[in-house]
Amino acid sequence: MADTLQNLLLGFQVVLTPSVLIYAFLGCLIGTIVGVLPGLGPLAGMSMLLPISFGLPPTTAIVLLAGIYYGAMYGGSTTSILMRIPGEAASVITCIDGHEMARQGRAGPALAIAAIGSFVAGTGGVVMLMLLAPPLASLALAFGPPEVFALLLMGLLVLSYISSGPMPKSLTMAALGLLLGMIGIDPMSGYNRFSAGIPELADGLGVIPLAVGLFGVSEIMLTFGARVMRPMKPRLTELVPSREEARSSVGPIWRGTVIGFLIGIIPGSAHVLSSFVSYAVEKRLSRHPERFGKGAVEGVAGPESANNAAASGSFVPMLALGVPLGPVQAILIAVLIVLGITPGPLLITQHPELFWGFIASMYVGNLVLLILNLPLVGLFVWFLRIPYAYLYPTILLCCIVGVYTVNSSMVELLIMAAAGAAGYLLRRLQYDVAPIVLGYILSPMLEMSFRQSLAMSGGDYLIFFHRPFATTLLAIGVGVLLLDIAPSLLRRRAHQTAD
Amino acid sequence: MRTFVAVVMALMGFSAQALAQEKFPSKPITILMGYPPGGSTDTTARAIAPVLERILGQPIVIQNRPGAAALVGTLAVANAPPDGYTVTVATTQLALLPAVDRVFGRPPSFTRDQFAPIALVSAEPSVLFVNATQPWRNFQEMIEDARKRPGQIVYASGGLYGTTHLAIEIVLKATGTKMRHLPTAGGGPALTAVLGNHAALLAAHPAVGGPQARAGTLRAIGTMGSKRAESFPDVPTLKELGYEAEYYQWNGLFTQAKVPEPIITIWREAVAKAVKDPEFVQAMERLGSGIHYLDRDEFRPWWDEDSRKTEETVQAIGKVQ
Repeated sequence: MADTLQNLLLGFQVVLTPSVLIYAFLGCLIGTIVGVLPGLGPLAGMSMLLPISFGLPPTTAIVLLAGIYYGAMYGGSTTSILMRIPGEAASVITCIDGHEMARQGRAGPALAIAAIGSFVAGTGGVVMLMLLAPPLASLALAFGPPEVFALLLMGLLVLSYISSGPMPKSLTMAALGLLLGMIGIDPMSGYNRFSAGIPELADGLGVIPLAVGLFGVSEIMLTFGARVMRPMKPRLTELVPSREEARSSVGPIWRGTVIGFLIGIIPGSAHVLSSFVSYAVEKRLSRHPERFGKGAVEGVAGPESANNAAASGSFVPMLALGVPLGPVQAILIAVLIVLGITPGPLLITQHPELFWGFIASMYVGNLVLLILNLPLVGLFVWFLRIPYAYLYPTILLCCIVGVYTVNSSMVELLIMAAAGAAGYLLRRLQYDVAPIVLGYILSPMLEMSFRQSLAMSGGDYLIFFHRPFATTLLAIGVGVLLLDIAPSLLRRRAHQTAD
Repeated sequence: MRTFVAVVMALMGFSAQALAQEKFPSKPITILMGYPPGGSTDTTARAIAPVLERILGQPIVIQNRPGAAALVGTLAVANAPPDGYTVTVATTQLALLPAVDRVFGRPPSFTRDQFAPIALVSAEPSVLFVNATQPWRNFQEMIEDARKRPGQIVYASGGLYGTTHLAIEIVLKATGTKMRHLPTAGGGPALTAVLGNHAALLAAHPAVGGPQARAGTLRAIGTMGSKRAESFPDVPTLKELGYEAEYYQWNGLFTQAKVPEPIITIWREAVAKAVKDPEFVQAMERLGSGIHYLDRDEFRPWWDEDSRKTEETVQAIGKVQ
């Protein structure tokens, strides 16, 4: 422990120099901007700045790029809350209650809670990263395809158990998402499935066009011709969360932090899952689950914390083992390599100034983001004063530009438009579109891990029961399923005996 | 007289083209790539771009258009105007994707002869890494074990028909053995699978498994070059062990075949200068691949040979299930 503190001190010495601080600020600012713009995610921002970072000292370069990453995690919530457009995939769930709060004139508190939750989770995630990185990294490696499959399956079952909406409707939507996720090249055999010979479809519909269409475009369409209730013009005093709101956010923020961090470290799992799990948990624990979907502050605080903690968690395998879990970590590793540092199991011992500088920079970065974002809350809320006649075309333009920039693809714009139309219809029919996105994201992972497991075992299904981790996870899933069915079965039996 | 000619040509709509031919390059250049940021193709492009910018005197924009195993970006390069302003850093995909199309009986989306090589920039032998807890101390022991239990040992790859898949298939063919294939979603996940012992081995760029090998979590048991890899001087090549199994992870600069020869010459000269530039040399050293430069004339036969091997191996793998 004393060692850790001493090392951390070293880290702060590295980071607390004016030049590093400037880059931390710059990274956070750019990150917030790419996070706010729908479609443009952290990946785009980081790769644009990649050449610049080649000329910087290693710690500065990493601080700059990592700043973009968690800056985007902060910024993603802004458009979700204000316009119901997810700035990036992890903010999909924030759209639901966050935007509802904005419509009730509570945009300021929603944004503030999201920023504070992100700060607490970011910082909490760093503490866990600092203390637990080496042991957790080896645990993460134990997650092979069978374990990932068991985890995802359990996740789906638990999610459907704890979400208290009309089950058939949300399950139908999740199934639709799973089906949409099948479009594209089959990763195990190379066949093109349902892609109608369009090369762009070979990689699937893409989560960004799908999410922006289902949420953003459908929202704009819903307001056409409808008499929209204007969000109340917020006064300055209403930018600050009320005591009540602050109090009910504490629990969700802490729970979200832990949930997010744990999901973040697992290779092959989806960070987006963390925000969905957190939302479902809060809804289940709440004494007023009926308030969810109607502007519950817990529905913003939990998921927003979870996705930031997942961001910290995903650095565990990168720093402790030199293994990139996703494209974001792959870029950071590439930068380190170009700068002459080989990330690997020896990184922490060979380059303590880098590891601890990185850790310290994450503390600093989170603080910078909080300072940067809280004043912006006021500014962002002012946008809502713009008359709809001007605001909505601008939002639509943002959606189009944002989606187009990612891959410069016309096809993705068409996907967004189609998803918008589908989202409009479904929401008119009172279906929640969030499970579609979840199903879509989980679909390829679920399929891949299942078939990978069978590839490993040569087609033997028993592989899921030869591995203790996988078996335990599956048992939990089945247990949850039984818990769900048992009461109705028992009731039926009681009914029969009564007859 | 010159003005007169220029005016006439302008009237005929020739001017832009004629002027462009007079002095290349006179506008910004794009390096368009099929691979996402962060991979070796991307980092090579990003390392060479600033140096080429200085030599050619025009800004260079790097554009990643990943998708469908690099098909989307590669198609975009093939279909870009052949004026020398769109080049690409590419690798085996130029031979690989049409070969996969053939396996599935589809008309190829593009062919290799739509591209003109400019230069080979880097080439590293594939290295065979096994999880350190595996009992085999060297390549021979692993092959003996594989002979004893055919189709039981699991190897990981970064994806079906990718270079990491083809490399192992070449080894299996050369040794007459069979193993089980675990495809994953990229080089990182394949490495993770072997580190977690969910698969026993993978073939990778030396820089990918190098740090793990030095830390003792992976063991390098063979390299697939014509001579030993610089970063693994103690590890024998498969050739030394008596197997014909050469395969490289390489990156080269290409443009369209229809680009006029004088412009290709300008590019060749620029790359020849760039590979000697200390900034680029240092960046490549740090990327762990060093520079393996071949000018167009030597690169072409080298590329033909690599493509032949790739096509043959894809054909041999055929359709999976």
